[in-house]
Amino acid sequence: MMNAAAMQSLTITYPAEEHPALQPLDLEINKGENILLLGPSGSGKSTLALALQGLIPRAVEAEMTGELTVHDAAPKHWKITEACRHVGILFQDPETQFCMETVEDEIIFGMENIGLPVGDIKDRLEHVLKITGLKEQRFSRLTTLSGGLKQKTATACLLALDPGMFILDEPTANLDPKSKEDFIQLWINTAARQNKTLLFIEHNMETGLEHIDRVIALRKEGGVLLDGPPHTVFREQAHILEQEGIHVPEVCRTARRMEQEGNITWSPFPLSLHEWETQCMQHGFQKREEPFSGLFPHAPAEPPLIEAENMTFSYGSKRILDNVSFILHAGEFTALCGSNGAGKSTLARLLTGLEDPEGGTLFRNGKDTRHLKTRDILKQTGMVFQNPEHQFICDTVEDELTFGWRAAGLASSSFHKELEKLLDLFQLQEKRHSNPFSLSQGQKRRLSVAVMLTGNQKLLILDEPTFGQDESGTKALMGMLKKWQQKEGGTILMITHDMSLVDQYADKVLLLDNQCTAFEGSTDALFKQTDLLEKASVKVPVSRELRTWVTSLERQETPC
Amino acid sequence: MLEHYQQKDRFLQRVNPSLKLGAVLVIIIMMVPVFDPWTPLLLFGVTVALITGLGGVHLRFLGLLLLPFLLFAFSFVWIQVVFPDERGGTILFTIGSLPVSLENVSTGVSLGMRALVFGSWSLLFVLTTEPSRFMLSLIQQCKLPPRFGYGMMAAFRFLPLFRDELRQIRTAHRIRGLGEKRGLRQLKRYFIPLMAGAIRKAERTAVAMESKGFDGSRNRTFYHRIHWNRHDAYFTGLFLLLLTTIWFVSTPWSA
Repeated sequence: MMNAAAMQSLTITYPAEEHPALQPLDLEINKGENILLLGPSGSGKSTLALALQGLIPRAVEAEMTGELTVHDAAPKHWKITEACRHVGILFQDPETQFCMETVEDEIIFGMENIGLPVGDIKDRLEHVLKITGLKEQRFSRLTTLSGGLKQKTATACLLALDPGMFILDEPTANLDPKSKEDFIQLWINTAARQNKTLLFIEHNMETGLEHIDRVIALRKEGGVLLDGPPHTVFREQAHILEQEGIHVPEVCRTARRMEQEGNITWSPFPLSLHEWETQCMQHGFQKREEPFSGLFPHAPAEPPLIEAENMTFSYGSKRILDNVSFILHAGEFTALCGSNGAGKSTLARLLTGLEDPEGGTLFRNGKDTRHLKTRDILKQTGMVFQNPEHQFICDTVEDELTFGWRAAGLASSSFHKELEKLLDLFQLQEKRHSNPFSLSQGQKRRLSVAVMLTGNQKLLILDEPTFGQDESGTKALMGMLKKWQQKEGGTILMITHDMSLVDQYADKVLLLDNQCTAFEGSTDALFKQTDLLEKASVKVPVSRELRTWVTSLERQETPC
Repeated sequence: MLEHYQQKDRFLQRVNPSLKLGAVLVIIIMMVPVFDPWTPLLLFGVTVALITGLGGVHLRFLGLLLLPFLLFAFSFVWIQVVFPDERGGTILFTIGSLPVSLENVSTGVSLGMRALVFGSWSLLFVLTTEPSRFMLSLIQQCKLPPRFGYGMMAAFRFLPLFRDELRQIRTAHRIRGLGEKRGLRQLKRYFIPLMAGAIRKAERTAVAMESKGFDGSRNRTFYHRIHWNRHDAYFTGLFLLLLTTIWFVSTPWSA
């Protein structure tokens, strides 16, 4: 086998940084391998991607030591037009990787750059539009496309340049579950089949694992933590990954536990739900529907915190919400789901009182919100935005947290205890004097939640709070939220695409589809409505599917 | 709405963007020494007819866009009447104790009409030209380095993103209890997160463009060629005719 890339003590340090972004790394990648690259935030995965293309140091300034060869050359010596024919990178943020207006123009852009003749451009354009399924969107403007279609367009752009190595840098982080699966399927069907080297960087990969040849996990302190085929890594070494805070795919984690408990011996070890199910059936196990918990657990006597009745709302002539009704009781953790553009964020705005519903009524503690002042609603409602930076208004973490109290004219002695409590709960003690903009992604996120809890908030609305967080960051944040809900009796409404998060933490789900409430009820009940889930492009999380088998496996219920 | 007109298959849309831009510049220069109100009025009428007739833009939509220019134009008349350099002799009527003279009104109307003409020609360009075609034409006909052309396109894409981001920041700040009053301090608070976001976006886009092989040089294929065609000839003819007419109409007045 030939080498696609080789690294010898490759170290990369950004200017003005004390520690290298990529600690000394020795690694060899073979041609045609499909690799899954794992690692906690800050282990230098994205930096490595940029270096493999030569973008470091060509476009992004950084000091590079050690050896790096890709396709038997040093990427930094490639010309820009050469580099893109060797290595193509798909980036995480679909908004910032385009420069043209339409799908066609964007795909053409790359091919024009490398000076392909017009005839070839035409052929390749037709070809990539066909394999990515974008024929209908050929002349669509990029701004009108959903996140999933944008990433497909970005894929088409890469395929058109036909490089020998593809690097996908967390391309599905912003996508809803259905688009995510479609996208991974597209790569499996196209790129992975040709003799191309494929480097998948993903925090949380649940599908497509059976097509991965090799898993490489990086250590936060540098170097390779684990390296091997997925069967070996996820079966025998999963505990090492978990110690490092790296997500182990649900199927593998559960399969491993079942095996360790002596319930089943896998051969081969399952990497997908499909493989799991086939083997379970071969062993004679049956899927068991969990007993349905029935009615919603509690029906408090007091008026609900929020009650919406046939709410409608439009921006200009565009209807965003149409007859939306639901109830939020105090102390509940509700997940707000629905595909992109279903009206989730708009609904959140209405609940903050910044906007009034056009038609229908919104009651708060039994009172019509139209009679309440926005100011008073905001005192009881906090909202955490997708981008935490948007919320920061002060120069230090401490000022940020005490801003509300100071604005209300309170003396520092009166809120001192409360401040310490928040700093402890959200693990920000060490950073109390730092500038909010200088914090890490996880710290920024925790601060943005903490500032929303400094008042007397009863309801906290979160807009995709786990976006851009790694496994340990997500766990820490959700733990804190759950604590607030249980200890302080807080009510939470969380907008999210992540169904395993919903399954794990939410008591209740509110599903929007086509501007209407498509479902309102317990999480258990939602995942039973297969037709509805299909329609609203929601997927039952793997963890839940697995649970139906686990009971049967644990009890060893095989028909004799 | 804007895209809807820019993509229409009408005469003005088919004219080479660089030629149209040239025409706008010539008109602006031509109008500088004209001080009578009739020439710009005539030109304005012709322009509106061109935009609606040859560009397929609805009169109502155009009117809506011209409204701010109209207000701007009226302010010229008002200023000339209320604060004239030199009050004219032919008094038309008085508002209260303020005499309104024909000469002042005429200068005001002429200045105002000029603003309207500039406005209408800018709209003629904007409403009938697709940004990407304009960029390609600048690169292909005016020899603009691709580095700037494609850079402009990328920046152009950012505009709606910024608008969304500003809206989000404003909402986020309002939720934190800020933003009832608007002021310089408030602007400063928007500025930091907006700039932080903008710099990050610009960097990412630049890296993404380079990763697709963009080196900014002229050494590239042009899949879409902006050619000169017969529409450009007709447009030039029409434009020369218009210039000649203006010349004759305005000479006895401007002298």
